[in-house]
This record gives sequence, C-alpha cells and structure tokens, in this order.
Amino acid sequence: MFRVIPARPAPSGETGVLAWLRRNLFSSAANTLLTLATGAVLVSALAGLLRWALFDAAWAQVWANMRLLAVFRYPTDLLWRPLVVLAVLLLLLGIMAGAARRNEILRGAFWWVTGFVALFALTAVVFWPSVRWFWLAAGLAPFIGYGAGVARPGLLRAMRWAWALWLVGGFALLHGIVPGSVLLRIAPTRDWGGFMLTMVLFTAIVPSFPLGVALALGRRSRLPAIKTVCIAFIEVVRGAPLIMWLFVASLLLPLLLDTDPNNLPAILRAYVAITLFSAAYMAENVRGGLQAVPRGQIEAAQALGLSGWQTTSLIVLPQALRAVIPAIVGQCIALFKDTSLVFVVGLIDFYRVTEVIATQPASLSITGGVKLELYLFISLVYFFFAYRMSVASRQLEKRLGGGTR
Amino acid sequence: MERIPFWRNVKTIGVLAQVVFVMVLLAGVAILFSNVTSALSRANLPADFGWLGSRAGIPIAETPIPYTTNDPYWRALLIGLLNTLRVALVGVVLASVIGVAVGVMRLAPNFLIRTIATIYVELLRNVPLAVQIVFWYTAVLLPSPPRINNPVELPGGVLLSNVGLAFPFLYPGDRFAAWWPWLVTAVLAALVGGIWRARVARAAELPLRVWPVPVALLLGIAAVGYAVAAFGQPEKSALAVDFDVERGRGTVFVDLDGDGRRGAGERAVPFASTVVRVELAELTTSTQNLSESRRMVPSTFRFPLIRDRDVAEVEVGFVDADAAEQAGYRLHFEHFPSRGVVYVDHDGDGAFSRGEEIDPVTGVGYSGVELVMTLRGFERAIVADRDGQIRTPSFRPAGSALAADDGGGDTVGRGVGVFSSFGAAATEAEIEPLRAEVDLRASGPLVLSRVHVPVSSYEGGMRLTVNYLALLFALVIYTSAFIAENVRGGILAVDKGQREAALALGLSSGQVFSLVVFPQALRVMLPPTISQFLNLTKNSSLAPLAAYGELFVIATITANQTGASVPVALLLIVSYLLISMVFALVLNVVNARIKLVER
Amino acid sequence: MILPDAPAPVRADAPGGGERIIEIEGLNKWFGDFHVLRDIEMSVNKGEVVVVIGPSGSGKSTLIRCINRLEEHQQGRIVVDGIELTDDARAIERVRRETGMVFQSFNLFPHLTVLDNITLAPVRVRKWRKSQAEERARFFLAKVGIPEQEAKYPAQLSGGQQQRVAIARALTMGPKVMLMDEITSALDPEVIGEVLEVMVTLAKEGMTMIVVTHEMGFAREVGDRVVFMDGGQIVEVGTPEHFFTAPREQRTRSFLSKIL
Ligand SMILES: Nc1ncnc2c1ncn2[C@@H]1O[C@H](COP(=O)(O)OP(=O)(O)O)[C@@H](O)[C@H]1O
Ligand SMILES: [Mg+2]
Repeated sequence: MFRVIPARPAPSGETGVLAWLRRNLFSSAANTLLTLATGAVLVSALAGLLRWALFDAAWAQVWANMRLLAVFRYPTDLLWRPLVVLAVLLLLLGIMAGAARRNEILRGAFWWVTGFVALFALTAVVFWPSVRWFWLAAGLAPFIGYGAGVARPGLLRAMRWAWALWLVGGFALLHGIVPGSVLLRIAPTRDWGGFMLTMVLFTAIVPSFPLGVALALGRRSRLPAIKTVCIAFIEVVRGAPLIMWLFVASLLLPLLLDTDPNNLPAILRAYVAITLFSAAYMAENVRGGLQAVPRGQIEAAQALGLSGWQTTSLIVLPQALRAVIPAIVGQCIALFKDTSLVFVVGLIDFYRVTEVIATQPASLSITGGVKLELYLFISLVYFFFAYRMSVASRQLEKRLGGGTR
Repeated sequence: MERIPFWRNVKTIGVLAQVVFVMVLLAGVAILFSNVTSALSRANLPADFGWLGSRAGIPIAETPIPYTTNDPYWRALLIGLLNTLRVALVGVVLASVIGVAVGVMRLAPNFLIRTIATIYVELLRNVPLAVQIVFWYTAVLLPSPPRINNPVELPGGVLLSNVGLAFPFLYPGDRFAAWWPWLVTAVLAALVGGIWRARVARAAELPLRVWPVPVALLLGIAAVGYAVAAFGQPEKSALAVDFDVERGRGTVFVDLDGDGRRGAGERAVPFASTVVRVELAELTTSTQNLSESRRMVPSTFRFPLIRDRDVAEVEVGFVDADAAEQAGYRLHFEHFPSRGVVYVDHDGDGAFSRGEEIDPVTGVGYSGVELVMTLRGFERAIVADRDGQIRTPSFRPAGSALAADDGGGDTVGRGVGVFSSFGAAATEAEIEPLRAEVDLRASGPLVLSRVHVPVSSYEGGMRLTVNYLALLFALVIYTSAFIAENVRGGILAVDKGQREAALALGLSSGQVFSLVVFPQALRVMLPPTISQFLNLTKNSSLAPLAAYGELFVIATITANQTGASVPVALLLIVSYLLISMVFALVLNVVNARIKLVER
Repeated sequence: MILPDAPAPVRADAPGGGERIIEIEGLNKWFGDFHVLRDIEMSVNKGEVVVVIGPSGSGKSTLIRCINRLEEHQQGRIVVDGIELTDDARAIERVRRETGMVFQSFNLFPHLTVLDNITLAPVRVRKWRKSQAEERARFFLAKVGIPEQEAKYPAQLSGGQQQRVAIARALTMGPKVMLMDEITSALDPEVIGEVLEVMVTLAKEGMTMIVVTHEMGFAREVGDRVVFMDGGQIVEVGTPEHFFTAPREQRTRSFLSKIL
C-alpha cells in the first residue's frame, strides 16, 4: 500500500562543522598531514609577523609623518582645501549610492570607502588637532549625501554635472585661485604629494575616457586614414611601458610646446602622459565592447533613419560601454597602482613619500629603519582600494553574465 | 542624372573627412616639429644619433657581454637591452612555474592551501609593483643576507650574501670550438628526427610519442661530440698567466713574445682553467663591531673565505700575542678558519658563550684586535673570468704582519698564539718571500667555474647581483599572481560535463586532468598568459627602483648625460615596440594554433 | 557581364495603372567577386504586397536590403517614392525615413524600454515631440496587440512579442513601404501565428509591403505577386495562385515541392 515517506534529516557527519572540516582539511591521511604542516608554518609566520607588528615595529614614526603621507608639503594652513574636496567627493558618492540604493554593487563599494574614511576621520579627530573639524566634516559628508540621495533620487540626474564641477572646482581649489589672498592663494604644485597627489593623478582616468572612446571609434572607422592613425597611436602607446612615457613626456613636452620646462610643472606633464597612456588602453577595452554589439543593431538603427552619429551615440556606445564596465574598473585598478611610477619625473606621491620619511634623521636613528613599517602601511592602503575595486569588478562581471570573454 | 552636391555625397564626404583629418594632423605635427627643432637648436641639444659612438662612461654592474666605461653609448644601451632580456626571460619561466602552481592551489581541496593561495594572489595583485620592488630590494635583500665576506654557503657551492647570489656555472672551455659543430648537428638532427617521427606517427595513426626521438638524437649526438672533442689535442703552448700574488690578481693571455708578461696587443683569454699554488703566505684582518642582517655582531673578524680543500694547513692567531694574552682574548670560530669572534672567557668554562664578545666595561665589542692567518700549501683551481682575470686573496709574505707590528716595538720574534684545529706549534716569525705558481690546465669543451670570494666580491661562476635578484623576485611574484588567476580561470572554464564524460569513459582522474581538462584549459589560459609575459617584460623598466642597469635605466642616464632627449626617446620607443611586436607575433601564432585545434 | 545573346532577364513589373512606389532597373551587385544580384528588374505599386521566395543564399535579403541602402549596389537604378538611391546622403536619409524594415532577428535595442525603442527614431529623425511620439507608439503597440508592455525591456518579452514590437517600431515612423525579411523564421512555431496576423492586418489596410517569407498561407491570403529568386536572379513571377497551380520553371517546381 502506498504511503508518503516523510523527509528525514541526513545522517550526522554529512552536514555541519565537523563534516566541513573533514571534507576540507582532513579528507585523507596525506591531506591531514598537509593541513598540519601548513597550519604550523602559517601559525609561526603569523605569530612572527604579529610579534613584530605589535612590539618591534616603529609605528609612532609612521604616525608622526601622517601629514607627509597624506599631502606631503601642502601648506599646513591650507589643509582644509584637500579635505573639502574629499568631503564633496564623499557627499557626491553618498548621493549616488543613496539614490541608486537598489544597486548593491555601488552601495557596497560606497560603504567600504565611507567606513575607511570615517575610521580615519575618527582617529584624526582624536589625535590630529589642526584639521580636526574638517576631518569631522569629511567623515560626516557621506552620510549626509546618502540621506539626501535616499530622500531625493531625482538628484541622480544632476550627477554628471556635479562630477564635472567637482573635478574642475576641486583642481581649482587645490591649486588656489586668487594669488596673494589668504584663503585662496596659490599652493605651488611642487608642494603637492602623498596620497593627495596619487588621487589627483588617478583622476586622469576621467579625461582618458572620452579620448579612449574616440580612439576606439576611430579604430573601427571605415575611413582608412583615420583608422590607421588611431591604430598607430593605440599600438605605439601600448607598446611601451608607462614609466617610459612619463620619462619621455617630461623630457619632450617642453620641447614640443617650445616652452621653458619650468612653465610646465611635473604634475602636468605626468598628468598628460597618464591620460594619453590610459586612453590607449581604454580604447582597447571599449573596442572589445564595440565588437560585442551585433551588426543587426546598427542595421536596425540605420533602417529607422538614424544618422551615423545618432546610431553610434544612441545605439552602439550605450551597449558597448555597459559590456566593458568590468574591464574599465580593472583598468582603474591598474592605473591606481601605476600612479606610483611618477617618481621617475621627480614627483613625491604616496609611495615615494616613504623614501623621504625613511631618510629623515629620526627614522635613520631607529634600528633597522622604518622602511618595513612604511611599506606595510602604504601597501595596506593601496590594497584596500585596489581590492575593493576588484571585488566590485567581479560583481559587475557576474551581473553582466559571465563577463566579456 | 542630377549631379549630387559634393557635401552630400557619401563617398566624397568620406574622402573629405580624411583629407581634413590628415591635414589637421599634419599641421599639428608640423607645428610640434618646428617647436622641437627650434627648442633643440636654441638649447644646443643633439637631434641626431652621432653621440652613439662617443664614450659613455656609465658604470654598469652587470654586463652579459664585455664592457668597460670607455665603451661607446651604443654598447652601453645594448647591454641595457640584454639586461632587460636577461631579467625578462628568466622571469617569464619562473613566473609561469609559480603561477601554475598557485593557480592549481587555488582549486585545491584542502581549505588551508586554497586560502593561502587566494591571499597570495589578492595581496600581490593589489599592491603596486613599485612598492613590491623596493620592498624586496631595500627591505629584504639589502639588509637581510650577511655581508659578502660572510656569505651563506648553500648546497652545491651556491653562495648568498648582500652582494647577491653566485653559483657554479659551465663556460665554453678550450675544446669548445671542436664541439660546437656537433651541437649544430645535434639540433638539426633533432629537428629532422622530430618531423620524421611526427610523420610516422600520423601515417601509422597511432598515439606514438614524438618527443623521445628528437630528445634522444639531441642528447646522443651532443654527448658523442663532447667525448670526441674532449680527446682532441690541447693547444696550450702560446698561453701564459701574468699573476701578481701580492695583489691577488692575474690575467691569462696569449703570450706572443714568450716573456710571460702581458704586453700591448697580447689578447686576454677567457675561461682558461688554472691552478694557483702558494707555498706559505699569510692574511691579516682586525675585529670590528658590525651590524649585519639587522642585528649587531660585535668583535667580529672576517678573513677571505678559505675552504678546507684550499689549503694543506692553516692557523689563525693574534698579531700581538702578549697583549692578547693580557687582555684574555680568545678566538671563537663560526666557520673555521675564515669567520668568528674574539671573546674573553668571563665564565671560565673554556668555551665561548653568548655575551662574552662584549666588553662588560664599555658595553661594546672588542674592535681593532689584529689577527693573522698563516696558510701552508694553498692550492685553488680557478677558472679565468670572461676578461681573462683570475683573483685570489691578496696574500702577504708569512711573518710580515709581525714584522710590521714590531716595527716600533721592543719585543722581537715572539711566537704567534695558535688557536686552530690543527693545534700546530708556534711558528717563528721571519719574512719569507712569497712563492706562487700558476699552472694552466687543459679543459674539455665545457669548463665548470666555481665561485670564490677572494676579498669582497664574488669571482668565478655565475653571479647575480641583489639588484637583479630584487627586480626578478618582485617581477616573478607579481606576475605569478596574475598568471595564477589565468590558470584558475582556464581550468574553471572547462565545462563540468567534459570531466564527467571523461570519467564515464573510465579514464582515471589523472588522465582526466592531463588528457581532457588541461589541454582545454590551456587554450583558454595561454593567450592572457602570453600578455602577462609581455607585461613582465615591460615592467622590467621599473628597474631604477632596484638600481639594475637595464635598457630604461641606461637610456635615462644617456639622455641626462648627452641631452639627446629626442633620439633617446625614439630609441626607447622603438625598442619597446620591437619587444611588444615579438610577443604579439608569438600570441598570433598561438592563437592560430588554438583555432586550428578547435576546428 | 551580359553577353549579347544572353536571354533577357525575367521582369517583375507591377501591373500598369497603379502608382509606382519602387522601381528597380538593371540592378547588379557583387560581394567582392561574387555576383549576388544579376539584372534585377522589378517594380512595386502603392498598396501592393510582393512576396519574395527562393532557396537560401539566392539573394532575397540582399535585394530588399538594397532598397533601403543597407547594402550598396554597383549597377542599375533603385528609385523609392521618386527618390533615386545614389551616393547622395540626403537621398539615403529620405528613403530610410520612408521605408520601414523588420528583421529576422528582431534587432530591438536591448538597453532601451519598449516605448523608448519605438519613440527613438520619431523623436530623433522626424523631430516629433516626445509626447506625440509616445501617443503614436501606444497606438501601434495596441495595434500589434501588446498594449501593456511598454515599460519592459526587450529581454523580458517573448520572441513573438519582440517581433511585434519591432513591427510597431517600424510603423510608428509612418513609412510608405514595409520591408520584411523572414520575420517569422526565428520564432517558435506557436507564436508565428500572432505575427502573421499582424502582417495580414497591415496588408489589408493597404500598406505597401515587400515580404521575404516562406509562409505560403500568407502569400495566398494577401499576396498580390510572388517573385521567385534563385542564384541571384528573378526566375519566375506570378500571382500566388499561379505558383500553387502551374509554376512554369523546373527550378520553381522543385523548390516549391520542398517547402509546401
Ligand atoms: N556581407 C556579405 N559579404 C559577402 N557575401 C555575402 C554577404 N552577405 C551575403 N552574402 C552572400 O550573398 C549570397 C546571398 O545572400 P542573401 O541575400 O542573404 O541570401 P538569402 O537571403 O536569399 O538567403 C549568399 O551566398 C551569401 O553568402
Ligand atoms: Mg536571407
């Protein structure tokens, strides 16, 4: 006679912590041995590292140089300027994350950055009296922005302009506008440095984007002259390493413009080199997206009577760019790391400051120096941002379905 | 038919657009060009390549081909390029090996292994390479290994110190010229044999192994050739060695006039095999308070590295034995007879214990205590360098240390305190002239060159500087993280059904991986891995951070010295383009083969 | 090359008396060395429904893609609504505005909603106001039988629905001619009917249509003429009835025997 058999729980040992341990660590004798050996090595290495980090490392010397690490020699009384730029950046990020609350990827990235800045702001508020209140503002800005974004999702439409304004206004504010005035006087670019400079150079990704799109379109052009020139530019630039282009740009830009080298600050030369270099790579990424747009899309647009320009801007590019967002985020990571190459033109960015700090008399008097501490600290900061970007890139790729292979 | 106005004609619009584009471009280029020429002429900087032939004067530590600072710029730049390739090729191989290992580890069933691999990959990919290079260079390789006069001796005659890594190496010997036709033959035979074997395999439609035939041909012919070449007549007649034992330097050269001295026009001979014998000699040193590998080593003495097989008898003692006895100094060897510390036996146990090398009164070590090492029957096989040089420690006549010490003193002819494993009796101090002889020995087609440390540098063998090692480490480890991700992605990209189908056919899990999964994974991972190889090569331009003299470093120095910024920039761009093109070519070939296989 | 003693090409002329909207004379086209269209002579009257049939690779798609200049021809004349297709950018623009095209693979824009797909061209090309375009779009969406889906994205619709959106998109531009290239071939059998229904309605309302299809039921119901192509040539022309009852050419008969 038929009876429904009720479901029974799995025998113990198939599920739960123990089963997981057995499957992943102790599945066989060899595996157990491996686990024990690796575990021992790992524990002793970690213990050594911890002992060093907690007892031997000279973190005080790192903290004492936090201002150099952050902004290098940017005038002390003008420190509020980078902090205002940072606060506005976080405000805008907050608005975007708040308005696009359903976008988990954006939201996740936003809270990470906010957590980092808030933590830093807290520390600064306690230990760093000179810029206490601006740090507090920077720490609060993302929350205000998020609130505003949630309350008024319509702000999202104004974001494009807000970002452009932030970029231009941020540069102007950092550089100073009114020579000789107290608040808005010029801060000479040779005093810029540290993490601020790294971030300033990182923004080169913004102008490189339209340039890269133009190059990618040019590369796919029917017109042989335009196509050839674009291919030549892209391949030549990508053929040589960025550090060489930085060097070449710093030598050649003054010659190309026939001006005195002193008229072209090193930051500007590096910025130009990074922008053009990044544009060439952007072009290749975008080209991947363009190739992924089916031919039928263009034909349908043409059949509807859209002009060539309309077809490109309304049909092809939106689809192509969406497909290559993960690749572009990947490029952002690469560029973020590559800003460390500007030492070759004499700029003191976040990485290079460590060399300055390590050769201070106070650092040299510490046995063994402070290089390890410094390298560890900046590595962690670099890692924090780069890793978060790579997580976002992976999430995007997954959401777009299997990536752009 | 109505004529179409040209501005509406799709064909002419295209042509017109290009004409305008090219004209604007040309105008821009022309403006920039005139700017450059006027700027160059105003600053009086060279715009041509004439400077390539003039003396460079750039000191380069690592020179794969002979080079002196008197050589011209083109040779310095060539060495830069060779150094780029040297770090890139080795780096590519090592990065692949580590990358594949880590990539497979990323998928390991063991949780710990998996996690370690994941941390490795994520950490290394997300920290700038620049930071990694300076980390390896200034935080690990410069401070950590011991100094050159106290190197770590690894198995196989490998030495590691703060100067770098050196290991025994094979160089072309006397009979190499007789061997290389055999080598060429071996390679050709292997090619022919491989092709023939592949044909047979295809014709027989059997899964025959192709590779054993060419490999056997290659090794077989090369080995036979080696034996034949080695039995040839040595032609040593014209060679001689010009050796100065007190400086510990000599040159092997072609002695045209037979006077045993190297005159003008007498060519130095590389890689000659020699034996240096010194009957009785001494070396001196004095103790120092050093800091080494991030820790203090007080009261330390370091003689040049003398190994057991180098000498018949050796003893080490104090130059001023009385003073030493009064002070209670004793010797403790970390490595007899070359390295150790001076100490005072405070606890009276007759042996060294930690802390006894520090003066309890001053709290620092005993520095400036003079020591002398007396060697009898020194004999060392030395293979001359690429430039014909042979080096030994700079010996002094036995007894000269004492004599010098007694120069202004009152005591004459005291014995030397002996603290050696030989326990030999004290030697009378009287200066005997140094007697040294150098024999030239015949060698086979290849000669094994061992590493020595005559004074404070490596001699012989293959020597890698810390600069090279730091750059190589950083590049390899950084790139391996990316390759590991390609490997992981490649393996994951193979459809699960493939594995299941192979298992269902009864293949073992090893066969499943090697015959089904890996070949398919290889196709996915190869193209991105090749572009990682290119990245590694281009990233070697971060060499200034490790002070390694590759192309970019030499080029920047050249540009600074000559002011020829435009020509140097052109040279650099062209060099890197060529390198990139080679990789692109390889990539295209690989892609074509992959496509072929897929069809 | 046309040899002097070559047979005169088969002409697919529209019946006299009607108003000519498409005229094709001596059309020849090559893809590289491949002669894909050979001496095509064809004309279409206003309100006519011309069905083009023929084996795969016979040049049907190429022919109708020449009519809105998605393909460029090398010889002959194509005149649409009095405008000759030449290298003149304005002529091409005007012809494309007056012809609507529906594709086998729908080609809806995946990044735009249904409504945006439809209003894009009217707003950008015809410069209508957005509200006006949307009103028209809703009218045609209702007409093709999917009034409720305007806010969805193409990927959220079934194949039949997507193809009907594509038809609505073409219709909203108010074309004088509709070009349809095997628009039911990529559809699941059970949804072919809904698309055919729309096509029939359109034909009955007097739309000029050139339809590449092997749905002979459609041809029989609303087709005015059937053109059979093979090897880049027009092989036979006639009413649907003619093709069902008494095809003249051997090639036509063997082709029909395979699809009927
Ligand atoms: N862009 C093209 N380039 C080269 N050959 C093409 C191209 N498009 C179509 N063809 C060739 O032209 C012939 C006719 O194609 P098509 O008009 O699509 O045929 P149909 O639509 O009748 O199946 C085919 O042989 C096809 O291979
Ligand atoms: Mg077709």
